[in-house]
Amino acid sequence: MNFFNALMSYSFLQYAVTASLLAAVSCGISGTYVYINRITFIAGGIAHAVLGGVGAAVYLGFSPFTGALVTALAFAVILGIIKFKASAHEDTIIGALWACGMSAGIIFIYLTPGYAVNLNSYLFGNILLVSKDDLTMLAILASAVLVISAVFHRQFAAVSFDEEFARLRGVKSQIIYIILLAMIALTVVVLMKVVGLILVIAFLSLPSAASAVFFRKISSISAFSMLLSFIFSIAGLAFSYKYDLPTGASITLVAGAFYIISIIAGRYHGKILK
Amino acid sequence: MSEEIVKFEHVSFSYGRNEVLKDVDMSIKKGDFFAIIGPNGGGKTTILRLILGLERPSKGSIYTKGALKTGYVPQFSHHDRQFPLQVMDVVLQGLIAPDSFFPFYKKEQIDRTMTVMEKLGIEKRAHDRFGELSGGLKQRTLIARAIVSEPELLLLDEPVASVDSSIEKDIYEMLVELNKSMTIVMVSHDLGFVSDYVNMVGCVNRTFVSHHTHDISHSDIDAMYKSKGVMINHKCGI
Repeated sequence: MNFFNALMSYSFLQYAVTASLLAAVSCGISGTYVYINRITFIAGGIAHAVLGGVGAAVYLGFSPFTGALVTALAFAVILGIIKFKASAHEDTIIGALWACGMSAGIIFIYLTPGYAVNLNSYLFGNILLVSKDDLTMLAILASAVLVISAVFHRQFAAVSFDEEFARLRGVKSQIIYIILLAMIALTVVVLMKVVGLILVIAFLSLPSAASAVFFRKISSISAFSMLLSFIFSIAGLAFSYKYDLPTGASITLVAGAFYIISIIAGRYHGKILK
Repeated sequence: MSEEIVKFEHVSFSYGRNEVLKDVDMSIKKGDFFAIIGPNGGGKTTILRLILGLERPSKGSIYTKGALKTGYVPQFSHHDRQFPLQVMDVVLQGLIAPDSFFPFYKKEQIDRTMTVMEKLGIEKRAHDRFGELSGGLKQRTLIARAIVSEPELLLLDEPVASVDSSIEKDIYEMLVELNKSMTIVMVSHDLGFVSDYVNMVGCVNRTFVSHHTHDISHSDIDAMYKSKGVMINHKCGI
């Protein structure tokens, strides 16, 4: 049975496609800000460190989703404060959070009694196991990202372009920056379901970087990244279904391949879609 | 005697142990076109940052006129060339405020932005990407962003540092025009050129001395073109 016939017949594939759509909306927006602020490393740090929260939640008997959400938001606040207070050591601190967060997660999961928790599903995603309840959560988070980005659009752009100038105009740059990181943190939690924590970074960087080759406005880059992320997810899903390969990794490779093509296209044909 | 809008009294400033400014007294009056010159690392930019309140003095006090509206043109080298922002969006950011929610501007803000862009001759480039502009046009865009909020005091950090000398003159002449409606303080590396346009010159190299431009004779300026460093030493006693 080919992928599209299967999609008509199996609800788990329909859920997977819906989850991809919600992930595409959030990562199109957040990825654009990750790209223009050049904070892939910060986004990667939040994503990986979240495993600590997932592990702690599993160990203490909470939902892993809640654990991920709380940790992601906490790291967003911590990194936002570090950015303004200790810029000299910023990348060391992010690196430490990144590695220590992951390690804590691995230890918590190891210590958790009873059935073995499937670590892989958090690291590499489990889009084919997305449930109806998961979809509700993803929809809430994606809506939150959408609302935050609309409300703070001008302030995010101003702080990203010239933080000091925005501050002189009375904008609370540090708070705006923390809200921006919190929005990225919510996106990380959504993407954890689709591609897994390790591969989140691909989705927060590749679609927006590919879109930036063709567009010159933040809003157009976001919109086109949403479209690209959705296409990558569906193509990766179909590919992994046909050849029976891990889904998260397939989606990521489709995104990577497209990014390389877009760079080459951008170089040889100028800015095509001005 | 015109109104004093910024006053430094015995201001010193240090980054860690490194004393950048020592015992600076300075007075900026309404309507001045004030050039601050001096060697790199001499504290020129620090003076602007102190006026703006981005830094606090380690000693001494700074007075500014109550509710002084300032516009700032930073050195633009720190802006990302790839940043996806159109010229008009950059100018509109000059009107950003803490309550700027949702991605919409008022008609009055758009109109004001268009007027300022026309005044500075960048209206035809309104929809070009800021990073793709030439140095001179970038500088005009940043000046437009600084003045769209109609400040009383415009501060510029090396406004001609990365433009051709032909464009340098255009920018200075534009600033003279702007000086009719606002006070200007400009950091510059080049006294010889600016002294044709400004009325006050301050020399800073840790310590600070200021002059009225008319106290510097034309023969001094000619000599400065040839051996600027020597003349600055002589005139300012630094």
